[in-house]
Amino acid sequence: MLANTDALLLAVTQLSQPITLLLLVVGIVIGLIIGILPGLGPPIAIALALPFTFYLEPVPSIILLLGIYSAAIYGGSISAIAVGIPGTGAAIATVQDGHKMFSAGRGGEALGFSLTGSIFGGLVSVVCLAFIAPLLAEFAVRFGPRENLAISVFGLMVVVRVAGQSLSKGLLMGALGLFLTTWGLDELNGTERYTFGSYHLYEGLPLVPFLVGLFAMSEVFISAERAHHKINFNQSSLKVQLPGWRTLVKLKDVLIRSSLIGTVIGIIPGEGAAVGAFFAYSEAKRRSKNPETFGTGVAEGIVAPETANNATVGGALVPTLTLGVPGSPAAAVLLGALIIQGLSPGTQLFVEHPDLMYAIFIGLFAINILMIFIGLLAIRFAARLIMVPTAVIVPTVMLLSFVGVYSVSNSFFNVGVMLGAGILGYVVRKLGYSIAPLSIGFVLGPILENSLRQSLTLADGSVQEFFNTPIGLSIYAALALTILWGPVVGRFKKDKS
Amino acid sequence: MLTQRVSNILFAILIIVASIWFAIEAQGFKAAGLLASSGLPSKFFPQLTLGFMVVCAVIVAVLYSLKKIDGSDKSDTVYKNAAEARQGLAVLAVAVASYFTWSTFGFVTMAVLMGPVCLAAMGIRSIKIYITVILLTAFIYAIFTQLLNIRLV
Amino acid sequence: MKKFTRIAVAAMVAMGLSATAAYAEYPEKPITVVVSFAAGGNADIVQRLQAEEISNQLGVPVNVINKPGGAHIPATMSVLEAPADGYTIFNWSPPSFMVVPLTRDVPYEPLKDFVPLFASISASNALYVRSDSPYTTFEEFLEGAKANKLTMGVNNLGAPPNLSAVQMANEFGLEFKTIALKTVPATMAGLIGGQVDVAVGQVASIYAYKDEVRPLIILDNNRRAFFEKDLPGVRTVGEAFPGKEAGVWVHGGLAVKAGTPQPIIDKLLAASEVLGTDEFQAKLPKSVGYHWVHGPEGVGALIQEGVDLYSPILDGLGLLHKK
Repeated sequence: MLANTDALLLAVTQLSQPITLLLLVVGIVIGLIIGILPGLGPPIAIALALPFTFYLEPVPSIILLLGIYSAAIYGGSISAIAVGIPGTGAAIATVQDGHKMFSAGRGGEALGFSLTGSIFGGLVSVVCLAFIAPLLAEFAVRFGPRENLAISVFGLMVVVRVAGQSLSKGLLMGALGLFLTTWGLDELNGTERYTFGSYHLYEGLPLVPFLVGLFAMSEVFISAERAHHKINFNQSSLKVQLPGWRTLVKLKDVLIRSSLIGTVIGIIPGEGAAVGAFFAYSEAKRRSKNPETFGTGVAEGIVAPETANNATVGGALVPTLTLGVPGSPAAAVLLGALIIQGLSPGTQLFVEHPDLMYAIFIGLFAINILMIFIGLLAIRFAARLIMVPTAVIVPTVMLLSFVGVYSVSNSFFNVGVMLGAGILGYVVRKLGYSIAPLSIGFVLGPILENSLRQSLTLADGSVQEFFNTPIGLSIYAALALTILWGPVVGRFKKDKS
Repeated sequence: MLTQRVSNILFAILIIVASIWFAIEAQGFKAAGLLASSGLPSKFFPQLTLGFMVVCAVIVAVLYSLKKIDGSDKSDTVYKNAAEARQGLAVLAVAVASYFTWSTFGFVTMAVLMGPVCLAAMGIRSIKIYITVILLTAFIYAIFTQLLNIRLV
Repeated sequence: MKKFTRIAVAAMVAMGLSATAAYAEYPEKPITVVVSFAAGGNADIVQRLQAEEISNQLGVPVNVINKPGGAHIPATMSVLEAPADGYTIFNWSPPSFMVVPLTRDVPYEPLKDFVPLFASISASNALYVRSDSPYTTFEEFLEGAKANKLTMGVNNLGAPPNLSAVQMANEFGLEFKTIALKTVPATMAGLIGGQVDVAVGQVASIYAYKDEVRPLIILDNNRRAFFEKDLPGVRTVGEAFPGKEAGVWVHGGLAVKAGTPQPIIDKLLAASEVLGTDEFQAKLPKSVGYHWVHGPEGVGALIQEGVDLYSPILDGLGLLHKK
């Protein structure tokens, strides 16, 4: 696959044009800014830039959009750490340790860890994309209802296990999240469920406003309680520092494992990024010598999800480019951009346009490298947010959330949903519940219900047919293993001593 | 003060009552189109999750009444003191009021009022902070309307 | 929200007098186009290309926003909630203007509440199997489908590909396990991956999956201009089985709220004229079918054609919503 020198040279020539290089930088900067704003995630960022690509050649336009995509995913982690607001489902896992570390006066360090993890995950996934894309595509087409059901159950259980202390409380929140996604018209037969006579609720509770409300608004109310508290920090927390070589070596296992987890899970169409990030987090926690420290602001707790969620970018591009099936909402817009350029993403794309393929691989690589420098500038600024008094943050974040959520689809209904979710989030957080299982239940609910019902249709009454899925069965086995691992190993150790 | 124990038990009961109500409501779902080839009716998944919630809520309520679990922030009460409760709830009220202000009087009125009222609700006295927040409001307005071309009305 | 609407209406009436003068200056602020699909699909990208063209004509930005979900009803209603001033335009499509109003209770009537400006994007459906499938012809497929209950992949239940599949099953006495895979490309990928045995995609779906799938038949009564370009040599149901019905109506375009002042409608019609030219159509991706009808009367007739086509089909299936 990598033997076509002509196409490679053509790709390099196209990439090294000044306009392409300029768009590379512009894309990263725009992506970062929009990624940081609550509510406005990668899909909107790419859609906003789409009209500009009408006047560009395929390579510069795809570079611009890929720059925006990668940077917007990374930008979400900056606000997750500095303000406790994940811009997307992908950044939910980062809040736990990232924001804790930031509030503990180690902001510069936390942001440095997240930047390093993001870049590492991004680079690994590009390399995977470049060398084994066809293999990964083969894996991606195997994912149907039964496999999606398995991965959603898996994702949900992983989150319940890593978030919060009480299992019953975690499960309650997970179930509540799932339940809330059933509101609106039933996709399969148009039944009105809990629409309370309002057609606004036909689309159900919209995802982005719900998540912003759950995290950002509840954070606003909790911060308001502490408006007069002085935050303790010393000068060193303002200094952004990338982890040193020795720290990296210590984290190498987490980095590599999370990158691979992110790449593989990112391939699965749907909400791969959020599941990938949480899975990486729980793996890091499970393998850690001090799992009880997770959630209090440990390096691994930031590095694992951040590495994994950026690794999903490369992963999500696999089905997008090789099958024409977007791996995420952002990838869907990217796909549209390619179609506008007269290309047909699908099994034929790389055969017909090998130069474009090389341009995408090399471009993504360059984007990740460049993001180190632009990211450093951005987090230098973000680290200073800790000097901003809470009293200023509270109304500003509140206004930003209102406006951001409204502008997702110019919808005032969105603002109402955000407010409701904010109050719900505030209440449950005050009562010692973790909102991570609630949010992930909400993210996975539609996939879970749909794949359950479609699996039953496929099975047509046969239990054997229902489990006739090797991939699904391995996922269930992995789930059983992660749940039983702790007790079994504990037992084993006890016996030994 | 409101203790974690009492409020958690009350919340669990609230969840149980609400779940039962929603589950009964789901009995009345009517399929609009008949294209359904799905093996499960529309009410199945909501009722399944609701049932699950009831089980969890019962366990939580029982554990709390037996004093088996405590609040996650290791305090016994929901709020540390009256001042914190007042500030949190006041800002929550401001958020709700802002929503209605926006729907009735338009975005600009809401945006201008939100910052200062929020600060007043938290009992902030520093003029510097008021000015900063108003400047930031203008900045956000400019970013969304000018840079992102979004109509805020 | 209701109160808000009432106040907005009151304000509009109050401004009515001064508004007459304002028509002359239309447009003086950005225009919003509401698309009821998620960003990235064919409907969305064609709309974005058109928006850019209209923006060049009118000299103001034309922003596309996406409001997917809810059987397209929230998106449709959001346009009707906005004032009829030509600043909020609706991207209508088969679900919002045809299938959903025909099959369920909706709070709007397409031809009464809207004035359609033009119809542009179009498509037709085809039946596909994997290229290594034992069924090489439609006849072989019929035999196989009668012997075994095959799994049928469509994008969404109630969408035109699903209706084509249901109609085919009815006409030929077949039964399927139907799986909805969300989008047409995802349906094709599901076919390639073996999730489904057979799938209904669009005629133009072939471009992205040339070597992996095999078209069996075009699910349409009559031959249309773009069939030979996309699927050369593939028969339509009407050609292969005279007497069997295979109706399909997939069109989409722009519409404004009824009550929009005529001068504004005229300006929008003039600005959209360019979208029917060959120069503009040359810019479209090859996976997009285009059938240009300009002006409210022509589009109204086209939509009525669709209602006349689908009403008996849906009625036969017991799906027609009787008012």
